[in-house]
Amino acid sequence: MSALRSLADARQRDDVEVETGPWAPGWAVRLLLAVVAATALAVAWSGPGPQPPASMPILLGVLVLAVACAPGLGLSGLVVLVVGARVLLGGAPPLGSTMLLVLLAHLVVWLGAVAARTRARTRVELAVLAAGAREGLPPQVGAQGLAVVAAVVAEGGLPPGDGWRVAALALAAVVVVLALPRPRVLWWRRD
Amino acid sequence: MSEGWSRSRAAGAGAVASAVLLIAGGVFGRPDVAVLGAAPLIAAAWTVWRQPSGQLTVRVEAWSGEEPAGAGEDGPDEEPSGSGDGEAPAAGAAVRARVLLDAPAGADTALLGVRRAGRDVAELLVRVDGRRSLPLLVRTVRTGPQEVATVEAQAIGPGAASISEPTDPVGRTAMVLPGPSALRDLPLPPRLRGLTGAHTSRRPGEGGDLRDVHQFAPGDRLRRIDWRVTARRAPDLRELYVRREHALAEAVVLLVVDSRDDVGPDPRTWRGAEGPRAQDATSLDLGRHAAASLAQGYLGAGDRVGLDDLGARRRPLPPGGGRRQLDRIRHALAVTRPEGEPPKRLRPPQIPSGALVVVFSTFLDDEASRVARQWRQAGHRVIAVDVLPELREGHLDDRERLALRMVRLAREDRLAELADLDVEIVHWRDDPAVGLAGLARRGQRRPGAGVPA
Repeated sequence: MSALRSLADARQRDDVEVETGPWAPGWAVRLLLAVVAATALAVAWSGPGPQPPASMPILLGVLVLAVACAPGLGLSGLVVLVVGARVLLGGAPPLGSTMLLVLLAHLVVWLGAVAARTRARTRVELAVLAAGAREGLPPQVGAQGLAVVAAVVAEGGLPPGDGWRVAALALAAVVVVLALPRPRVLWWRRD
Repeated sequence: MSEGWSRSRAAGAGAVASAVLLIAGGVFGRPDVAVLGAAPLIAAAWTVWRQPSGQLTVRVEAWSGEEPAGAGEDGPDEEPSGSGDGEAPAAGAAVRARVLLDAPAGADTALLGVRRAGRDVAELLVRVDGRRSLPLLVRTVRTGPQEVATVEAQAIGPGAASISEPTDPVGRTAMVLPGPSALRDLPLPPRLRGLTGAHTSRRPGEGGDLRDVHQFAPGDRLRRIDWRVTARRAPDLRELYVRREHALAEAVVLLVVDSRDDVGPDPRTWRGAEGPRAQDATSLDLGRHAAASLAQGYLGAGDRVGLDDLGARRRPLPPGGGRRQLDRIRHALAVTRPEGEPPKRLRPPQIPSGALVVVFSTFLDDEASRVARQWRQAGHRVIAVDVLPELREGHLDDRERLALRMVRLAREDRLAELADLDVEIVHWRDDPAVGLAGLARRGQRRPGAGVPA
C-alpha cells in the first residue's frame, strides 16, 4: 500500500508553486478599490449642497460595482469626475474633506490602474502596492499643500484678473498632452 | 511612447478626468475642484517623464534550490536556456526551477502568467527591481519528459500607467524519473543461476543453508569438518563428518513494459482527442513506477534485472546488477512512451533461460497477454502486473458506460485466461506489496505435505 500511497499523496499535491513575497489576491485589490471609490463618493456627498435624489445612491452603487468588477474599462476616472462634479455643484467643502478627497481621488486612479492589470485570482505582491504607495507620496504631499492653498485662496477671494486661469488652463493642456494615451500609429498614417 | 510600450487605459482615463477637473476648476474659479485632480495629474506627468524603454526578458532555468532565492538578482548574466532537458528528479518529488526576470530601466513591476499542461496555474503581479528570481516548485505524479512550466510576462511601468508588449512564452522541460517504492518479499524464478547471490539454491555448494551432514570424502575441505557431530557419531575418530551446504545463487528477472498504452483514469481521454489531466497518473506512469520498484527490490537483493519494451523494437537492456543498473533502468523507463503505431511482433522477445518475467500492461488488447502466455508455455514463471489505474466513470453517459463495460469484460477474460495458464497476476492499484509477498511465499512452497504437485 505504501507503494501507491506516495503517488496518491503526490497526486493530491500536484501543483505549481511560485515563491513570491507576501501577497494579496486580486479580488482583495478590487475590493479595496471599491471601498475607496465608495468612500470618495460618500465624502463628496456629505459636503454642502442639495441632497441627491433617491435613485442617485443606486446609480453610484452600480458605478462602484462596475469599477470593482471591470477596472480595465477606466471607470475610476468617471468616479473622480463624479466626485469633482458634486464638489463643483455643491459648493466648497471644508478643508478636511477637501484634503481627504484629494487623497481618495489619487487612490482611486492608482488602484484602478493596478487593478486593471489583474484578475480576481491574480496574486498581487504587497511589495508592488508598497512601492506604488511610496511613489505616489510626493505628488500627494504636493497636492495636499495645494489643497491648503486653494482653501486659503477660496476664503480670501480670488485675485483680480484672469491670468491665473490662463496659467491653470495652459498647465492642464500641457499635462493632458503628456499624460493621455496615444495610439502607436497615428490615425492619419494608418493604411 | 517607447517602442513596445503603451499607456494603460485605466491610467489614461484617470489622467483625463483629473485634467477635466483642473480645467473646470480654472474655468469656474473653484480651486478646491481643480486641486482634486492635482495629485493624479502630477503622478501621470511623472510617469510620462519616467517612461520605461526596452523589453522585459524572462527565462526559466533549472534550479537545485540550494542557492538563496534571490541569488539571481546580482549574479552574472547567463545565456538564455529556452527549452531543454533539465535535471532528472523522481516522480512524487518536486521539480525545481526558477523564473528569471530582467526588467528594463523604469519598469518596476511585472505581470507573470504561468501555464502547465495547457492550463493556467498562476498569475502574479510581482515587483521587479532590475532583476528578480522567482523559485518555481512543481509537484507531479507524471514521469518521463514533461513540461515544467511555460511563462509569459509583461512589464508594467511606474504607477501601472504603462505596459509593455507581452514576451514570447518561455518554457522548460524536464525528465522526471520514476521513483521506486520499497516492496517486501519478491517472487523468485524457479531456477536460480550462478554461484553467488543472495538466494539459496538447491545445488550443493557453499554459503547457503545447511544441506546435510555427510561422511568426509575426497574433495571436502578440512574446515568443513563438524567436530561435534564427529565426536557424537564416531568417538574413536574412525570417520569424520562434514557439514554440507546449499550453494548461493542469483535470480534473473526480466521486466517487460508495455508502452503501447498510456491511458488515464478518465475513459473519455482514451480516444486521444484530449490528454489525461496533469494531476492524474496514467497507466504508463504506474507501469514505470511498478517496474522501478521491482527493479530496486531485486537489485537490492543482489539479483540481475533486465528491461524490455513491448511497444518498441529496440535492443533490450540486458540483465545486470548493481546500483548503476537501477539508474539505467530508471532512465530507460523514463524515456519509454507510445511511439506511433506499435509494431506487430511475430514472436515474443527472447529472454534468458530460467528468468522470471514480469509483464507490466493494461491488458486492454491481446498482445501483452499473448506474449505472456507464450513465455509461460515455454516454462518461465510469468507475473502479469495490471497497471490500469482506478477508473473514474461517474461522469460517463450510458453509451460510454456500456462501451467501458464491454472493454472491461474482454480485459477480465484475458486476465482469467492468463490465470488459468498459471500466470500470476498482481493489480498494482490495489496493494502490490502484499500481492507480491504472497507470490513470493507461494514460490517457496514445495510440493509435498498439503501442497499439490
